[in-house]
Amino acid sequence: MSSRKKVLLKVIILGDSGVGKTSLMNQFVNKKFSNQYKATIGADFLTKEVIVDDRIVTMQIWDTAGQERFQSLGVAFYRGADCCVLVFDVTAPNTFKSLESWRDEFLIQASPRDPDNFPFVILGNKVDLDNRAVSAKRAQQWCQSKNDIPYFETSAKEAVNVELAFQTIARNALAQETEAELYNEFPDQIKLNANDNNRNRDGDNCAC
Amino acid sequence: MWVKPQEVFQSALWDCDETTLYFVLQRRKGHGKSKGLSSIIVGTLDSVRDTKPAPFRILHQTPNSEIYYVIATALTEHEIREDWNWLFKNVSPTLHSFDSEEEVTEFVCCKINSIIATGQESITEDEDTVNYKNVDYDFHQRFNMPKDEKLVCYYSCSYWKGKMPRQGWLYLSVHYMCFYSYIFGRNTTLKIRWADVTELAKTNSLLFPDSIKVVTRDGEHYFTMLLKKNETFALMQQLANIAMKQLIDDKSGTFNTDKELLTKLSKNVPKKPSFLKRDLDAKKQSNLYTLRFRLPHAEKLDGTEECTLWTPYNKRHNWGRMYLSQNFICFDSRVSNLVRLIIPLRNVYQVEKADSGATSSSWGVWKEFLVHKISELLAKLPNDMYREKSGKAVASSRGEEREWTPQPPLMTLFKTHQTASIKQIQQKKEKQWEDHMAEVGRGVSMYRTTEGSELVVKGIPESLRGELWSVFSGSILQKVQSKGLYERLVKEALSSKNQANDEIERDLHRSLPEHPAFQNDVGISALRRVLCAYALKNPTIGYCQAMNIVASVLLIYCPEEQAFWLLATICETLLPDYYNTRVVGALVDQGVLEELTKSQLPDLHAKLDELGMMKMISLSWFLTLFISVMPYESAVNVMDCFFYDGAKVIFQVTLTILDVNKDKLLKCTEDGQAMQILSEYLEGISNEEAMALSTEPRTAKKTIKIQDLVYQSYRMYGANVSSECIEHLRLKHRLRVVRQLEDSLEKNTLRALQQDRLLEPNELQELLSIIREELFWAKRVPSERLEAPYEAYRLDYGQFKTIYTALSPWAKGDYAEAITARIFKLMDHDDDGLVSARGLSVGIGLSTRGDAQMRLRALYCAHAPPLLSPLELRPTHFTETGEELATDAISFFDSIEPASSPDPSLQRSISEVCSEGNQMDKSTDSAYSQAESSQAVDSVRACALLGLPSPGASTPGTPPPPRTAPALPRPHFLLLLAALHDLTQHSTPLYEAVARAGTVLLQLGELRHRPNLGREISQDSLYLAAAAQPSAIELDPNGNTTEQEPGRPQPSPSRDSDRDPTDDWSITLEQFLATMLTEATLEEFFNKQVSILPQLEALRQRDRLHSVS
Repeated sequence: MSSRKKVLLKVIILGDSGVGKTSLMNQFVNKKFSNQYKATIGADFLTKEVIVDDRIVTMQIWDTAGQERFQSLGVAFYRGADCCVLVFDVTAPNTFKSLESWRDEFLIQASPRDPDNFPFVILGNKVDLDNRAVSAKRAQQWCQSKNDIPYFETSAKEAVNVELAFQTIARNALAQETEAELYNEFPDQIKLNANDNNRNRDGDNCAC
Repeated sequence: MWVKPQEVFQSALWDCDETTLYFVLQRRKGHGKSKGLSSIIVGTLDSVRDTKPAPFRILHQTPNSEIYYVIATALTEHEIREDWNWLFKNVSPTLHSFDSEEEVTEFVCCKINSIIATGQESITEDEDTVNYKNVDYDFHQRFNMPKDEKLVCYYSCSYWKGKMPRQGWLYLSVHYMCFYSYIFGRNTTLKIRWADVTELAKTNSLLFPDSIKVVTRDGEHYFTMLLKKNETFALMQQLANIAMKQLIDDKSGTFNTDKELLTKLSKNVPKKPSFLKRDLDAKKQSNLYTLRFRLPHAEKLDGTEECTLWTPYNKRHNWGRMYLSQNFICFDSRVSNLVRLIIPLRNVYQVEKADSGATSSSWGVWKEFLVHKISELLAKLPNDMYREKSGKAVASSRGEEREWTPQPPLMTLFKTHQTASIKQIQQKKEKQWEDHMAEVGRGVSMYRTTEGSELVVKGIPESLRGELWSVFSGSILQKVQSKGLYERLVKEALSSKNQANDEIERDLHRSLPEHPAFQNDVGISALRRVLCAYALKNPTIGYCQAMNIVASVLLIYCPEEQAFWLLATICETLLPDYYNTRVVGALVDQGVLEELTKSQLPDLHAKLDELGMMKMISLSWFLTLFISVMPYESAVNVMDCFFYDGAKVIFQVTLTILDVNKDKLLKCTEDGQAMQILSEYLEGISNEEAMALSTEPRTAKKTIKIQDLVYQSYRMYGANVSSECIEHLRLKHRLRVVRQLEDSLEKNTLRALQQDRLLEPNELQELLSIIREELFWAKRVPSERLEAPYEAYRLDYGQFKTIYTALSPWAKGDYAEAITARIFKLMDHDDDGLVSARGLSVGIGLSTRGDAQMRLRALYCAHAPPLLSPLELRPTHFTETGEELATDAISFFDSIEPASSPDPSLQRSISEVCSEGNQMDKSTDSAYSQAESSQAVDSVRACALLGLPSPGASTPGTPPPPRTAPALPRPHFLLLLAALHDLTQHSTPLYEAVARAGTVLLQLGELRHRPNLGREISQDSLYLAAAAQPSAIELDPNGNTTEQEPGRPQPSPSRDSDRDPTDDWSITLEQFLATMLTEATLEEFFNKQVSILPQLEALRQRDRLHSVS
């Protein structure tokens, strides 16, 4: 496919409070790490242009609030997402256990067209720390059990694997996007129609 | 009940039940026994007119007189009989002694009057009128209401049933609105729970002229021809709102009537049909009053009076209204915002004594009554002098052991290097305020004048912020009222470990990281103390992200304790329910903003709605009071106005921001673009009159001065967005938001329950609505940190029993109670005496839908050793028949749990007994340590649910619990057999099949009964056991039986204390299943799919009487 038009990818970052969602996003977009971020309330977002397979792609990365009581408010932000990034903290097992519920919640609320093949990426963050509590093997196993979700071990602080992870995110999201394009000729309508489709099929899919 | 003798006419509306020489006992036609046309007419008359006489009465009459006196009335026959009998015993015998009939009448009347007089004391305490009581009685009878449901008020109106209006009565009670009409033999009944109402509106359509519309999830209802439409509507709104608040706060027990009203000082108490109505009216007034003057919530309005206030600063009299309550005198001018004044009565006390003119005010219309009342209120105040003294003494004695000192405002420690021009501006402002306060006074009692508000809009000088925020928000009053509380809270909070504290800890460095105060321990510790103390003070909120951001800014400008009370005021008064576990308040205000935008900026609203933005913007703006989106030194200017004018300020500022960016926003094609525009605009809002202390330089391109933005917001939207309007809209949207939250919880629960694949979706739906109905009367579990959505619905044994016995085919026979209790224990995973909605649905599903294996396995497991408590087994030592055991089980549960009582203390008692039961297990089974025992219970429970998805199993990393059930010892097995007999007793072939299988199993068990086998797990026999049967040691080093392969005979958890020959008798699950399933009839019976829809329907009919015509 040629780079005939501008492509916009919407990426949602989810995960428990304090796992480093904001830091990962800023490391990727601004190439810097700071320990001076406010807790994210509601949602925040940054954009970055990347090149995937000779195509210029604008990634619109949405960073969300992690505290449990905000979980159900995410629906406004999930809409039209092309890829969902789930983050946990390798030093905090609880944040790993929550992945399942974040994933479920996202699928329920965003109700993507093809929930079984919706692109997720899992990031185990803070690998620079010594007190690691979730082994790579355990995380890998879980990812495999969930339809082979790509898994990366990252450190937002030391910029380990961040670039690579987001490249994969962009690529997988783009694949999803391209698929969506086949359904429609007019780029402006893609999202709306995709959503409408989802809504109609919601009933069939929810019993997954 | 005796009534003051009154002359009445003997009318055709009454039937005589009994007649004696002097007395007649009558019954109202249309009541009870009498039937026929006349009784229908009387019924209609009573229903149409608000006469509602008590249905029974006693008349007095002398044989030669035409005049009847009514001397007693009653609602029930029993009651009237009591009075009637009393008359015969005490009055009738003496009546013969009188000479004339007049004397008889005189005596009777006198006697009755004196009875009433002696009972007078109790009558004055009786707050409600007789008439109201009759209606209340009718209401409870007619709508099958529980006794403690309180009727608030009733109104005559028409209800539109289809195209036909029905004239009748609308009853409004605390939890329900009901309608009843009875016209010529056709009655219409309607019963709606407030908690189910999604919309209330006054409408005026052609079809339903001038009506009140009530929308529930089931449909719309219209009421017309109301005599007092506004009063009715207001009351409906208030009651619906109370119901919503209960759903939000999960504490339905908080509806308390205020008995103090009875002794209210005011003279002319308006005549209201019910005490409760008066109470609610008073509450509403007090609410408005405390909101208007930012007084503590507990303050009760006593009365208001028109008067003038003489203001010394401009030497003028101002017309307005004075408000009086226990602790305050307030004044608000008729011209809005001209002048407002709050005087705490304790200050009045001091002023009088000191005789200074600090808050001198003269009241134009100064009635003697008022003076009297104020002094009465003053007399009621506790002696402050004394309290303060003792308070100080406590404080000083404690001072030494305190490990922390409260921080002064952080800006005094971390000073900014102000440029000369900024310093000048600040000084100028300070001067202006000093001048102003010299005129209008300082502190709580300062006059709030127009000039004052103008100064606030310009921005409060930094040095005065702490003081003025506290005064304007009213938090200073709370602080004074709760002296020493903060210190106590901090002490307790810091020493405890809980989830809220963990979450706070994680966010301390993510609050205002750019400020140097929060880059070292000084600010961080203060912030920790404030947040932890608040989480402890208000557990319904605990800690919510965004509070940290707000609190950190408060700490910069205020001393620590003041910051704490300001935070409390924000969370509880200014932004109600914002930070609770479901962020309800913020969602409500999202709706309010949406509606305001729609009316003020319609084209922009359409655009933002199209982009899906309406739900995005307000969350962070509102939750953090703009601090997270604007530079904090600008956001504080918004806060100045927010504390002065309330939540309306954030709405008008938001509307202004949208308005200013309207053109750009209208051109956006996607949400990200629009968000970008807004966030760039917000980041660029600058404050040139203050200097931020920030390690993060403000690099954003400047867009607008904050002073200009605030000013514009007042100019453009100040008038359109009033506090009353916000309150009104909040009320409206709260109904919607709470309904949505409940719906989504229900939806998630249904989705989770469907995964068990036992009951059909429509059955689950019905079941859930019944559970909700059942739980409605009980305390709800706080829905915080739910492992699964269905955990939000938790039933105690009484509630479980009600539903289970109504629905499950297993709970029909003589053993219903015992089986229900055992299934309850089986499903009570955490032994807390509560079973979740899933437990119930699985319990019912297993008994109706599971295949034979599943059902038998569940029954087996319910009777397995760790679950079946020794309490239930004890009688085995005395009898071998099952019957007595079962009755014992019944009395076991009956004695601890009076059915379906929601009393929490009782609930506690059942869980205590349950855990006691476990302790019995543990203490008697010395081989079982605590952990092992609970593990064994878990594995039995898991075994019962084999084949169903288990909630914890898919969680990454945790191994699924083992699913084995231990072998059944003889007494347990006998109980199981008895239960099976009970289930099959309706059919002889089945019963015989059970008997056959039972015999086989008993023999099988007998085979295993080899005494002296050395399977004891006790310490001294372990060696023996190991030597005798090395392969039979299935216990792992922990004594766990989990490693056993299924099919292998297992040792029963034997008790050392009472070894008897039957001890090694056992039957395994596999033996049991295999034997039972060889009986084809049994297999067929247990495979039969039973529909529970008819039972569900019956339950529903019992609970709800929807429009029966």
